[in-house]
Amino acid sequence: MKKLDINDPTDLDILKGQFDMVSREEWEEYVELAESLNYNYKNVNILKTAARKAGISKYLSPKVISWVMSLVDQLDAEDDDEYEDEEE
Amino acid sequence: MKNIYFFILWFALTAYSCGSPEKKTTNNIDMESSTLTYVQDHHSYAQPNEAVIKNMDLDIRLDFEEKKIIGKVSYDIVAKKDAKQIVLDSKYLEIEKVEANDKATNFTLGNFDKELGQSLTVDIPARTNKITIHYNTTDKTEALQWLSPQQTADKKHPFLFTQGQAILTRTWIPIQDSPQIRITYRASVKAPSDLLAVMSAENPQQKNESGIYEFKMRQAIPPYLIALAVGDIAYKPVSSRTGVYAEPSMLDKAQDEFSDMEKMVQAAEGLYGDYDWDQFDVIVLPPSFPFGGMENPRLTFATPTVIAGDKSLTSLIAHELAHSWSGNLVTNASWDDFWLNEGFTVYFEMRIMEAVYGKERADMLAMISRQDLEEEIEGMHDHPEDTHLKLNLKGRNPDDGMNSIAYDKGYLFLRTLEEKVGREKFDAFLKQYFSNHAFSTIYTEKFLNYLNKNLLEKENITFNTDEWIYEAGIPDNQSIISSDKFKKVEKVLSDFVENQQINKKQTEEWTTQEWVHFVRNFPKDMPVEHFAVLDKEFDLSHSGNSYIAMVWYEQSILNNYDGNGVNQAIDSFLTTVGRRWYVSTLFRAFAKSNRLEEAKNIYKKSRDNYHSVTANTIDDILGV
Repeated sequence: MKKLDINDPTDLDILKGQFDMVSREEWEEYVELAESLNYNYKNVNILKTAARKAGISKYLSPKVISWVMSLVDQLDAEDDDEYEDEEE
Repeated sequence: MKNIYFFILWFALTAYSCGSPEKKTTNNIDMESSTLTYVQDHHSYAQPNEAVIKNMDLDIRLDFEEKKIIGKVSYDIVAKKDAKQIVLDSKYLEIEKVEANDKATNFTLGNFDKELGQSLTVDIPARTNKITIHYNTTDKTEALQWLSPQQTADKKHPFLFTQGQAILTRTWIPIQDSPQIRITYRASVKAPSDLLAVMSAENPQQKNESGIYEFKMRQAIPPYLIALAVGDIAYKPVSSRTGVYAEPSMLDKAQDEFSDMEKMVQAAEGLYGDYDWDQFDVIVLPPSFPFGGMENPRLTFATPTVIAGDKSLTSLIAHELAHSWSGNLVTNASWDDFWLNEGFTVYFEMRIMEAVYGKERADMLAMISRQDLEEEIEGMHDHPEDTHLKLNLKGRNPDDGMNSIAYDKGYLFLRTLEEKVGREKFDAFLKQYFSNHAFSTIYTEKFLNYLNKNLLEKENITFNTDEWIYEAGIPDNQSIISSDKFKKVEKVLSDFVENQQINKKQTEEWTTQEWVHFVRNFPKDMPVEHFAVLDKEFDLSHSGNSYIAMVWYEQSILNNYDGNGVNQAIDSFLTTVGRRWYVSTLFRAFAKSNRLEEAKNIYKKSRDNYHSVTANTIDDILGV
């Protein structure tokens, strides 16, 4: 997956679009997963902020959006690993 | 909490999709803070709340021999985590193959609808962030007009241009073709090496030997504003950020005619904030272009019929420039809300014209707009619902709403509102409106919420907005428009009607608008002898000004005047010019005068010269 640059308007628009596609319920699942994986409190808090602002990317700064979306990538990867382990 | 969000989403979608003018259905919902991103658009198959395109990479080759575009388009997409498909719009395209993240994927084309075309549903495996569609256009493609050298000004090279509005972009690019979707784009276009390609993007200013042109559009735009023109064209600057493209023989004339463009941009910025698109260029297209102008961002497409030699028709440029704020920056979410694009733009156009050319000229334009509106409403007496500003075009072509109601009733509404609240407060409101909604979309109910909150309630003003927007005709509290210059014209006309004499000196200083007002206001059943007197004096049947010629021809047809070779001139006009407004006015006049056979004979010769949007309108008028 290509790295998106928050200083590029197109990339930023994509990041915002990705953020807006995550529902509040999904953000809450990410919070739970992050807590279960002992993510530090800053990361958990920013995910909680994202949950409160679900679907409204314009209320968050580009840096925050980039941060939470990178956490989503990490958590999705963790989730996939966990799923694969279970499959095995 | 989740349930509340779902309820808001359900309620807003239901209210919107009903499309009935049941007003205020969404008034009590703070759409700004809901999770609803896109509303339902009944002119697109796309489901952008599930998966949406964000950036386009277009790579195409133009085959002028076969009249075909061949290539591929890639999109960066964002989708819900559980989305399995992305849906696009396609019409008259041949889809060869589709890829998701560069791997072949399945796709299906839905049932064909004559207005909407087909849905193109593409399977997207988890974490797909890019899709690529390999395709080519066909001979039915409606957006493209391929012109032979004979159909151009210089008659040496072929020409191609696109017209995307309202829902024609899907006929040359498979895309989510809804005005509420905004994308940035890059494009690579391979054209014959003796032609220059330009787009609604950062443009080259001269030809290159390879014929390959690269484009980038950094600002996100709705699909209907993606535009391409290719021909033997050259560029001349007007100022550091404005300029003209045209065929060589038209270039100097175009540069002279549009030499006030920079003044217009400055006037517009002085009114409602910075011009956000960096460059404002105009390309003068061959005469078959179906509109006066098309506000493609960074590169307005214009008809050559506005080149009058005296800048008298440059309000069209002011109009297209005004779209850089209303329409391009703040875009109607669906075609039912088209008045939000056009009504605001006519209002803004009048303000630019007033700032650059003075109040007298703006008053004349406003009077003409008012007369256009009167005639449009008269023609809609069997369908009063079509005179509402907010329309319900479900099951119809969005072109049905592209008439004087959106433009001129929309303008009259805003002008009346301005008079009620005062210009200073209204200007401050509009400036804030454009700033707050820049690069986003708006629909009528969202606008009304904004208007109430930021102007009417704030200033404690009562105004009958619902009557203006959701009811037929024109409310009684309309602004009264008058023009001293037109009063003088009316006096000259009444004197002429009385004694069939006209003093040439009285008309020496007349502008195009004064002539148009004079001709349009001929009494019904004016004797043909009166036409002959005027024609002998002014040779109106051979006017070089297309607007004056058009209104003269209309009156000539309606009154069966056939002197001074006017019928040959009309024939020649209709077979050369493809501007829908002009052409449809004349064909309507033929229909009203029971001269359908004559009209059909002309149309047989001229139809091939018209773009599909003009041809479709004339087909309806003549019943062919």
